[in-house]
Amino acid sequence: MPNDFSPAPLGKNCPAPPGFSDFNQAIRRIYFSTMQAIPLDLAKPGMTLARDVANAIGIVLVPAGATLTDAHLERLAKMEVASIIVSESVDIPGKVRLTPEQRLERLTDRFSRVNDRPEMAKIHDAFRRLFDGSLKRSIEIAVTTPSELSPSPELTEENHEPLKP
Amino acid sequence: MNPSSLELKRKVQRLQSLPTLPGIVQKISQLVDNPNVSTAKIGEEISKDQVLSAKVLKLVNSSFYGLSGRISSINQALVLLGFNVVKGLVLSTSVFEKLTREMIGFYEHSLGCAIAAGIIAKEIGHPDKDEIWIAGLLHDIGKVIMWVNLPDDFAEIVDEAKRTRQFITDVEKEHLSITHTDVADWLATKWHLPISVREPMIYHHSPSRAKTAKVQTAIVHLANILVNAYGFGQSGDDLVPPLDDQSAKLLGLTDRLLDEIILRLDEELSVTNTEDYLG
Repeated sequence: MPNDFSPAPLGKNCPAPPGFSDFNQAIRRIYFSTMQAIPLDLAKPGMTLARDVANAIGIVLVPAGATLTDAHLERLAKMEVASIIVSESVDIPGKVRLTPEQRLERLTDRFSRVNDRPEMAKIHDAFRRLFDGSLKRSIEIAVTTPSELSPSPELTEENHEPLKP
Repeated sequence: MNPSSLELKRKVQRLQSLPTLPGIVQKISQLVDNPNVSTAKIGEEISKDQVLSAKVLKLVNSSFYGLSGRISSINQALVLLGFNVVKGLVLSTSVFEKLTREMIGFYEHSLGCAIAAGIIAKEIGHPDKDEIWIAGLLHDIGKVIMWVNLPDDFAEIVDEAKRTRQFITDVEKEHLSITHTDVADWLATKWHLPISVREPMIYHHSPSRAKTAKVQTAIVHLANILVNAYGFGQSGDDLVPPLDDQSAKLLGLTDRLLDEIILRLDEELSVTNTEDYLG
C-alpha cells in the first residue's frame, strides 16, 4: 500500500486522455467536472463536450473539450447522433433524478443482507462516500497537495496484503 | 416441489435445445468449428450481415474504455480484440436484441458489469481485459434466455426473490434445480467459448469453483457486485450479493484500490447512455 500519491490515484495503467499531457490536469478533468449524457435535442450552443462524439465506426466528429456551436449541432443532427456527453448539468424531461438522500437510502437497502460481512461493509462504505461526495473530495486533496498529505487512516487501516494474481 | 415448479423445470430444461440463435450466428459457429476457415473469412461472413456488424461496432465504440480502442470494421475487431471477443459480441448482440423495452434494465446491468470488469482488469493490470469485458457482458445471458423464452415464469421467479428478499440464484435453485448460470453454461459450451470467458460467466456467483480462469472469474464476480451496489440497471436482484474472500485476496483488493475502481466506475456509468447501444 503506497502512502505517497505517485503514481496518481487512477492507477498505473491509466494513460492521460489525449490532449492532457499533465496527469493532474487529466484527473481534474475527469473527477471534478460534471458529465452528463443528454439527448442531442437538449444540447445548446455554448455547452462544452465532455467526451468525443464519434460515429458508429469510431471516427471522431467533434472532440471532447469543444464548445458547441450551431454548426456543430446541425452537423451532429445530420449524422443522426442521438445523444452527447456534456460538462453541464441538464435536466432531462421525464427522467427523475434521485436526491442524494434517496440514493443513500436505496444503497442501504441493497446491502441489508450482507452488511455483517466486513468486506461488504467496506464496499458499502465506499459507495456511501461516493454518493455523499466525500470519496471524490479525498482524491481532490491527494491531487492538489500530494506532499502535505498524510495517509488517511480511513484508506489504510485493515488493509490485507495484496496478493499478486 | 409443487406441480407448477416441476412443469417449469421441464420448460427450462427444454431451453437447452431451443434454436435461440439466429441463422447468421449458427453459420458463424459452424465456420468457427472448421479449422480450415481463416479469420478473414469469418470476418467477411459477419460483415455480410450489415445490421449485425453495425450493432457490434456500435457496441464496441460506445464503450471502448475497457477495450483496446476504437474499431472501424469487423476485421479490425477480429485483429485487435481477438476472435473470442468478437464471437461474444455477436452472441450478446443476437441475444440482447430479443429484449423488450421493459427488460432494458437487464441490458444495462450486463453492460455495467462489462464496464466494471474492464475497469478492474485495467486497474490490476490484467492482460486479457477484452475477454474479461465480454465475459462481464455475457455473465447474465442465462437470465436473458430464460426471460425471453419464459417471460411469465421468470417474472415470477424475480417477483418471489423480491418478495422474500432472497437472491434470484437461490429462488432458481429452489424451483428449477438449475440456475441462470447453468443456462449460460449450455450457451458457452454450444458456442465453444474459451474457458477464460466461460468460467467467469458461469461462476460469477461461485468464483471458488473456477479451475483455470481464477482471476478473470474473481474480476467478473466483483464487477457484478459493484454494479449491483451502484444501482445501475436491473439485474433482477434488489440485493447486493456477497463478495467471496478468496476473490478479494486474489485481486489484491485493498481499500485504496476499491476506492479507485469505484470512482472510475462512477465516471463511466454516469455517462453511459444505454439507449445508444441497443438502437
